[in-house]
Amino acid sequence: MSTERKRKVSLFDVVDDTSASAKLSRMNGGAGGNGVVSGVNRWNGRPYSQTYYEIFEKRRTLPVWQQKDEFLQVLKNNQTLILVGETGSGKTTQIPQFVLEAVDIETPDKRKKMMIACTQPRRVAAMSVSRRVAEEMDVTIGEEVGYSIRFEDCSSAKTVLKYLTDGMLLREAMTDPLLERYKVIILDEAHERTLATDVLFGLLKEVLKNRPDLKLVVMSATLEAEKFQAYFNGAPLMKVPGRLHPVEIFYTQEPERDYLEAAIRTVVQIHLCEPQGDILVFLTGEEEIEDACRKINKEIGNLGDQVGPVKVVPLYSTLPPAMQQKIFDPPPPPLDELGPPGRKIVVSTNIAETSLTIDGIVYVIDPGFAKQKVYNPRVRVESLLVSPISKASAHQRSGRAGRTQPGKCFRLYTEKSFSNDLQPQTYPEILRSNLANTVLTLKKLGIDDLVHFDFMDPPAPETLMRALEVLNYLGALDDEGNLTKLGEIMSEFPLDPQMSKMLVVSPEFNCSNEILSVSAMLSEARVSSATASSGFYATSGGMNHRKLLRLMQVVAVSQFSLMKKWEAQKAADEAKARFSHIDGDHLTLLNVYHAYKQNSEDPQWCYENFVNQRALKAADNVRQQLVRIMSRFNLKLCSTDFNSRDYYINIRKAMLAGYFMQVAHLERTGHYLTVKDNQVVHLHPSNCLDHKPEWVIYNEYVLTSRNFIRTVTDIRGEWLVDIAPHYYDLTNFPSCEAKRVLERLYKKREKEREDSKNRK
Amino acid sequence: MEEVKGGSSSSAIRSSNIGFQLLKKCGWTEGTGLGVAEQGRLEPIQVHAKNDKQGLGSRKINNNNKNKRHQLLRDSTSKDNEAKKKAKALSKRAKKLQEQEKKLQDKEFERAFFREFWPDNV
Repeated sequence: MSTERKRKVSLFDVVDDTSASAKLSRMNGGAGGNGVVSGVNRWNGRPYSQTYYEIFEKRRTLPVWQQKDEFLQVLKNNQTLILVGETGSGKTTQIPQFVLEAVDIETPDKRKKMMIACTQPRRVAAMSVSRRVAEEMDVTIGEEVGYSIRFEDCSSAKTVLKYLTDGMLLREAMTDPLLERYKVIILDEAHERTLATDVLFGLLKEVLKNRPDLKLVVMSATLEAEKFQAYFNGAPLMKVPGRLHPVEIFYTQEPERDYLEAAIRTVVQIHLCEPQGDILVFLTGEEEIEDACRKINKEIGNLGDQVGPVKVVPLYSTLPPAMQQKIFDPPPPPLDELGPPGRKIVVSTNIAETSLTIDGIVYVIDPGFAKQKVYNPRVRVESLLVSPISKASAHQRSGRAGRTQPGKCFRLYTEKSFSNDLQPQTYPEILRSNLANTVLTLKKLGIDDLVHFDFMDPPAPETLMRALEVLNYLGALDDEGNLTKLGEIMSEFPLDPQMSKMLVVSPEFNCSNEILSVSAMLSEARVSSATASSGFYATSGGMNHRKLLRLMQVVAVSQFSLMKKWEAQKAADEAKARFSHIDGDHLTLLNVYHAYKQNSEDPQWCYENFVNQRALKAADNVRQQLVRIMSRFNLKLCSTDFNSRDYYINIRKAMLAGYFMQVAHLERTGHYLTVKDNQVVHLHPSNCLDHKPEWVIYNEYVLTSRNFIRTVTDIRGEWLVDIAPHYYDLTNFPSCEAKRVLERLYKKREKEREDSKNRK
Repeated sequence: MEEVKGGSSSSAIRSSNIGFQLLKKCGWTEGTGLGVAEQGRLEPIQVHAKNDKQGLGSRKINNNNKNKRHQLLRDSTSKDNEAKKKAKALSKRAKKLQEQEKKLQDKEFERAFFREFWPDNV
């Protein structure tokens, strides 16, 4: 039995069903009740530690404990139940433990137990909550309590309680359609309505019909509880009080002309006039937040010594974790004993709305905007846009002021605006997303009637059309809409279908090693800017205009304190130039990866070259996981000779084989137009090309004041005709400059063919 | 040439599109929504890109004008007007339903709001 230590396995491995220690089963049930009585830990047979008892005393004061018996009773009598409670009720950490105590997880096979799953919309939450719960249960993380997130599985055969992202549970369903290893599934933070949670809703409704022994607990904040209840056929609803103090809400008399300026003004006013207590300001993105922090520091600095000192802390998802920790620092002490008290001012994206809880906040400033992911299937663009929040969000934001004592929320809009301009709920992610990947997953899960799938909020037909179209062009679905062999392999990669396709076909271009590196770097670049599977909350800080590769940005920012900003940027720019490949950003990423490996992953080297070691390490891990999937399907790992002229050409061709739908053409006017959709786009200033290629593939479409395409690589028009003739079919092509160019290319190819025939 | 923002309207996907055809093969009927009761929304969500710092409510976006332009665009591009009409009639019904739902949601929100801030009231 070698499962004693923490095990990192591929996320696609089914957790071993052997080797759960038999001695545990003897203890099971005996310890019952609160689990404290016996003094011996039911899970690992060891006596409880001192910390266990200390934590236990604190746990018992959580609001959710008052309803423990009631909860277990309802759970016993029902297959599905909905539990409603605000953050602070302790539901995320305590409910799974209650379930574990009360539910029989034994199987006929003494060596194995069934599991309890608790899903989280964010990777960070799954990791941190499972750590906390392992501590509370006095077990080692990765053993009895574990977590599983994309590219990292920290669980073992012993695991009985697993926290995992909703996306991971969905992937598990691909290999275990009835989720047979689970006895109870808890969907936490259901009100966030992430894409994966919504799909799980529909899926689990089906699974529950076929698994009478399976139980489902849906946990949510208050607002949509009745809707959940109706959707889950009138399942009982239980309410757990949160720990909220009353929050007084203030509106402005007139609409604000400039919400940023108004927010800063309000901060200053609070600091001058209101009693002690920290401030939380909600803004939309990294740049705006950094700008606001500077201005607040300046304005308050101008007031001199008669006001208390402040500590202004930015918070957004792309900030390195060490910087994020600063939000938990105490406010600064008063300058002298009798002086006015200090204040902490947190300026944050909407991550502070639900995901992160900061104690000590008494004042909230809410301008009413957030960056939201939106997908328009008509122009096939998924982007982050600043738009008004929902009433539910506004409510959530104001609640943040009442965590420790009665608070105040300053809404920088009129009460009339609140009732007229804000929609009641934020649209669930499923209505705002590109569903290509979701459709591939659903197809793999065997759901063929996508039209009548039990979505809680069905997406618009056009969104599904686009998804089907993309998958058909990629060859994952045939013309009848059935999953092809290629599609089945593609669905095994936890990546966008375009990227999966590129990987699967890369051996044909003799460059799968390189494509693996590029894919790993691309997905990690995305991961580092958008920490989670769920777009909306995590990517809120995502947009970024710095003229740097994103992998390098984080380092540049953290060195910000050591060097002046422009100096840091200049140095980082130089470092970037060292790795630049004139043919494109994808190839530059590859260069960075190669250089990192050649320098034996040396942290010092990373530091000197402004390369984010953490991100690269993560990319390397992603790469290893992808290699495993490749070998599972006997996809050859190969490279073209580096000295060959074709080395980079093959890589670029393989990339095109996946991304032929993300191509832009340079018009004679000097603009780029996206192929088929004819959207005017500009190369993102972060690109490292030394010329403006006639054709480029791009990884990402970014909407800001202008439409940018980011991470671009030069490709040749001939390849379009050779590699993706089914997409570049001119009978089905809007007339434009690109079409005329393609016409010539087709003619050229035809002529070549005839010539070679004649020669024979 | 006008830059079309990702969130703004543009013409609907045509029936010649392979995705359109695949969805029909899945059992979809034009003019209906998705879901168990085909109750889903008919149009994709439209969001207008905001590129300034103007506060909420400080300038009403002229929705009527936008819609008109949208309508024109669609009429000039649409081939199958009949299907459009059908869709319109349906979308009227859907609108009514949506309005009703919105009212309900508002009510629920209010209730939830009070429950939340004054838990003793419950």
